Amino acid sequence: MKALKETIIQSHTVLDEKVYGRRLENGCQLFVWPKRGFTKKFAVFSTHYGSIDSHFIPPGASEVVHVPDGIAHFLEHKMFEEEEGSVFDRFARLGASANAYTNYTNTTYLFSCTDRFEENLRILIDFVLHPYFTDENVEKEKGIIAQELQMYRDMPDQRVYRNLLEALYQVHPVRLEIGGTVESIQKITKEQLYTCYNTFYHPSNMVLVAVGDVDPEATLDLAEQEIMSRRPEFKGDIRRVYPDEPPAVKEKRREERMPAAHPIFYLGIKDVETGKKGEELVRREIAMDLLLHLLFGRSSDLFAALYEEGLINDDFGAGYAATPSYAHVIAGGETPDPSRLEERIWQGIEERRRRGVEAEELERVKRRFLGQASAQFDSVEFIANAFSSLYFRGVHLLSYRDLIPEVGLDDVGELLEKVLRPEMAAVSIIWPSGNGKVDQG
Amino acid sequence: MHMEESGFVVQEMGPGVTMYVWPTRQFKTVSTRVVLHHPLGEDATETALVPQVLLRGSARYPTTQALARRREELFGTELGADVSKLGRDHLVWVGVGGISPRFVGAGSRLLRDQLELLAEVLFHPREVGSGRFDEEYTRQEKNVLRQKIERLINEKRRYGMFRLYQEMCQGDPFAIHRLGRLDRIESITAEGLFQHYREILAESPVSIFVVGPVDPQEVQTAIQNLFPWSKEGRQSLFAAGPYTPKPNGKPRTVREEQEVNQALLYLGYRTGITFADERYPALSLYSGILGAFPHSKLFIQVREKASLAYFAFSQLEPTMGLMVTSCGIDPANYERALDLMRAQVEAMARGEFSDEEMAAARASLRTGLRSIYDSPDALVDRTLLGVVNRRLRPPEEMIAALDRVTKDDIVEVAQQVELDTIYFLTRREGGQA
Repeated sequence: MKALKETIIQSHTVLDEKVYGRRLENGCQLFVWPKRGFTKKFAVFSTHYGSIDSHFIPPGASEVVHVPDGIAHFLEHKMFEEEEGSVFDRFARLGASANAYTNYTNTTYLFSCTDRFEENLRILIDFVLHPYFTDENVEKEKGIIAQELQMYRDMPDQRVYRNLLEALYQVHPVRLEIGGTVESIQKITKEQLYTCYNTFYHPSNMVLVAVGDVDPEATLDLAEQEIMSRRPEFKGDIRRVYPDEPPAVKEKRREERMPAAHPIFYLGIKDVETGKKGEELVRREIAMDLLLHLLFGRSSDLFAALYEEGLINDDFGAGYAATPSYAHVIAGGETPDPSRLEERIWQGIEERRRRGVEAEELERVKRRFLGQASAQFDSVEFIANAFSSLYFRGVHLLSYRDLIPEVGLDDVGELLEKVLRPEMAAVSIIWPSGNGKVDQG
Repeated sequence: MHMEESGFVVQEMGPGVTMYVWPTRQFKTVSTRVVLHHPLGEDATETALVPQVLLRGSARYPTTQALARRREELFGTELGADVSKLGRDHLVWVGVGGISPRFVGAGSRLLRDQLELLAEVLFHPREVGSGRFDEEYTRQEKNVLRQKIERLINEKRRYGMFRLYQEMCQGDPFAIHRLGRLDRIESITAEGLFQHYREILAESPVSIFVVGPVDPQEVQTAIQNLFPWSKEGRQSLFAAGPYTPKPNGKPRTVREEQEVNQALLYLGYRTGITFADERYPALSLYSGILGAFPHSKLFIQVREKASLAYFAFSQLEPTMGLMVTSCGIDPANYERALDLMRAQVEAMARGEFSDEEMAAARASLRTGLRSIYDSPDALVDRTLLGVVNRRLRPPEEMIAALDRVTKDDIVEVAQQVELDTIYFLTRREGGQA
């Protein structure tokens, strides 16, 4: 047996948290975050591969492959099937519960248990590194996923969001539904699933994070042995192809009718300054979230005015999503009058531009962010999920909190000046169709 | 002060006011929830409106904005107030939660400041003149409540579940939605609502929960000083009991049509077994084998084998002694799905389940129960369930009871589970969503 890799320990004295990390020879990154006193043990095994990775050059090939929309999510479903049956049963025998999720950029497999952690961890590594697709099991999955997609289509909040991204982006695959469409998934084949799997499910493109009251060194040793015995070689040549997204939005306005209680209005603003990575990307995200909170949060003048006018209700919110290849702001919620709300939001932003942001209010809001970022360490699920997603964006979760105080007035001011511009915006509106009243007997 | 077998430090703070403190270094946050137990009834709409208006402003922080700014100063302290439904209890709650001072380099006053904020919202609402909420706040919040009730149809899965219970438990308070009724909103006045708030505050039994790195004695003193509870006239907790069926009740089918892509099928069952019942552990295992997990019969048969649905599950309503099975399907597959769902319940009654299925359900239930200790919210919710059912039954006790359940116990329970109502939310025949 070869000597195992060295462990690197990082700690945060104020937070009183510590992380043990190890980088394997095959490029896989392992982390263990001990949580003393917790009963639950939680682990994620995550690949940097999501719905936007639909164009790529497979290893050893020279041509770009284009796979059907929704295939990353389809693949996630199919990983739970093995020659001997369902992976759920293997976890169930140990009392663990397993699950997985796919988003635009990552696919994550996870389990939660209270006992027999090592055995569960072995199963997690084993099943994620062991694909088994047949024509029959691929065909069978189509009916299940079709029902999943139909379920989302009946959710007004999902529809207004989907429509907004379709309006904001001309070609970037973030405009497409993560799970694809009922039509696109029909085209998925076993061979395509293997192509995607062989390209993206390599340890050099993956991270494993375990959180709970576990022995860090023993856990790292176990994970290292299990992963290295299956995939010892390094393979770091994933070539993803993203289309060149033009700066302009595709459509200024998307409207649709469906059963919903009230009109729903989403304003989207495309941030065209993409290409950022790591701390630069995440600091920009924090700065934008602080700005959005100052503009639209419960403590803002604008929120108070809009709420009192009855233009918004408790459903209103705003947020920013940023990755290296796309970024956008979304603000909105239910409203009786979408046009009036749109006008008032822009007035609020313009007024803010004239008035600027004051040091005192920024400090107050940063205090809130600092407290809330610290409070999240009470959840083992949060730690594991946030860790893997931040890791792929080039930031260590333990350092995340300390980026908040670094955000200055200039950062916030620049975003206010440059990003929140009407010419970069699109709106999406859901209008209620006639049918669909609450039956209260 | 005494330790209950539940692990909470329990203290009677006065007649009808009980405090449960869970002191632990495991968490970096302190969570406090004050719960008023009001019977679910005709006044549900007014009751639902109370916490909304409370969150609009207090004597010292007279607007939502002022409250929000105060929360920001207190390092993003969460402040919430709402109503929830637990059996026939309409719970009005106010909660605060936030980071413990030392993790953000704050002074030790933070916890006391958080409790003060809670007391402000619960005991010192913004009052106009004497005995009246702010007229504008009341008008605006009535409007928001109307929108919240109307919005229920946006979430089909939850809406369907409510509609099933409503059809199933006609005439029982449990059929009332936690937000009340649209047609009751109009007549609510700022004065009447304040009177209602006063009554709830003065008369309801109260449960207080504190979870986090605290000294129980210190928290008790702080709460005693900050919370001006009235000394008498408080009711004691009301007794729960299972939902009893209508006489000669044959299973009823209710079909509702909306423009939907996915149809939702719900089967409502009476079990006659509530959380406090000796047979409840057997019932939990029953539902575990039938449909509570992805290794249960419903998931495997309806989803994995028949490819009919993305979700298919069973779920207990422990306070009422009810069970629901549900799945989301193409409308054309109604008969097939219904037969398959019912067949699983029938198989259970015939004892057709293996030792492996039983072991898997037991292990999964055990994991779920033990995981409760890792979440302040889950700890409080679980204890509340016990309080409302007059039997705390902490997770460890439940785990021990599960270990004693035999196959015969499960079959016995299975044979008394009775189908009451089928509810199907679907689109018009031939209709397109």
